[in-house]
Amino acid sequence: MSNWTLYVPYAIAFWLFAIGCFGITQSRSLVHTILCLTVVQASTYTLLLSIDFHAKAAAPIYSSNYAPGRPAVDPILHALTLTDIVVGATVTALLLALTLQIHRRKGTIDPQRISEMRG
Amino acid sequence: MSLLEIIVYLLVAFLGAAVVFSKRPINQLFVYTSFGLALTLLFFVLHAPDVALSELAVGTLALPLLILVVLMKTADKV
Amino acid sequence: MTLRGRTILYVCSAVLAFAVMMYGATGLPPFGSFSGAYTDLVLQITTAERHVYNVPTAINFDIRGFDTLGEEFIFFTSVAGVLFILSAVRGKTQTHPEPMESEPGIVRTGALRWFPTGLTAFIAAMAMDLAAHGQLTPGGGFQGGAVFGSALACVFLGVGMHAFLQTARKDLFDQFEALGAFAFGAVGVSAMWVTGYFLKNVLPLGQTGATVSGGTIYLINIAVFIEIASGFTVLTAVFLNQTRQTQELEE
Repeated sequence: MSNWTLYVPYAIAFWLFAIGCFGITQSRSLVHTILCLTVVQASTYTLLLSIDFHAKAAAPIYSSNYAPGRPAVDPILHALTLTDIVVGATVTALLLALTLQIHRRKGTIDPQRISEMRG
Repeated sequence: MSLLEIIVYLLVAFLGAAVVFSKRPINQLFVYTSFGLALTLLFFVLHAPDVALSELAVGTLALPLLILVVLMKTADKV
Repeated sequence: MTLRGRTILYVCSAVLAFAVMMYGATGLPPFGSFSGAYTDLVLQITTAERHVYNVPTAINFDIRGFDTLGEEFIFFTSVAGVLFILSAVRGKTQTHPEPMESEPGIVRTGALRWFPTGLTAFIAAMAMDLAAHGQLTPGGGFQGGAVFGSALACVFLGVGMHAFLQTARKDLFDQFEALGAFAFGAVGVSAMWVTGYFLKNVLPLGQTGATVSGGTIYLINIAVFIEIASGFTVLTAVFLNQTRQTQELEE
């Protein structure tokens, strides 16, 4: 590794992943768990967008000023990530609806107390 | 790597840890909103305006509204 | 397993996993110097072949349109799941008539009432603008739909719960969402009927830089915007409806 600072963005993406999973193991509330899961999702977006960055290239939107074919960053990962963000938010909403249902049934949303209750 | 990218990456890492280590869920919700803003900044600095728009619309508008409703319904009776 | 045991186990395995992932990351290109053959090819040919300036939009709706179809159906299924879960409890409050401002003690007048209501129109117009120019500027159906989904929440802020539930009617927006999902599939199937390839771009491509350009990219963009906007509006309406049932069950 010639220049170790060039690998720091990947380390930050892995750090976000690890700290999100740590929050899931420690959480005292299901809403806290869901937000930590969102941090884990954000780590994957960071990793995807850090890989395809090129310092001398512009955004992949062309115009009459910036002719098509000039250098740009990778547009395929952009397309993948932006649909992923919106769909990930909807799956988080599904998890929130499940949280409401659990609260209605069990009366609490503490994941460490739910497993102790039966029926 | 320029100074701007280093600062924004460190901001994202710090706010990610702050989301996890917040004590009450209502505090965590507002830290999560600022984490969404920092992510938008990061995506913009990485030359990705489409992704930044997506994250801004979702992470600061739609999701905190739904989480606020859930927090309101599952709060302990005071 | 106790909390302390879980923490120790997690920290040990996380350090190990982090080390392995960093060792794997040394195989990646260093930050800021990515180059791939497929990337260069896509950037060269997209604007010439599809007459669209916004390359990620063209990739989403035309070059990799099949992946976007799958993601849209994930969205549709998740919203259907939320509706299924949260409508399982129907209280006696559904047919209970209530006055316009149902929160006692909160009567909004003046700027507090009309400013959010005007903001609703502004946000909705901006969302439609983002979506309609998706092939020219950063934006598209996904971004515009996510912004629109929170536009009607401003009605709730300005006027009150009852007016919001009359504006964001769940059954109407539910049908719009189904219409959007159906339209995406219908465009693909009609392309298959014409040429034999699913989701092939069969409409005239238009001039690069015009508002209507890109052929089926424009139609799919509109369909995705209708679906995502209606889906987020339905989610907001259903979640805010949950708070209303609590307040009335407590009285």
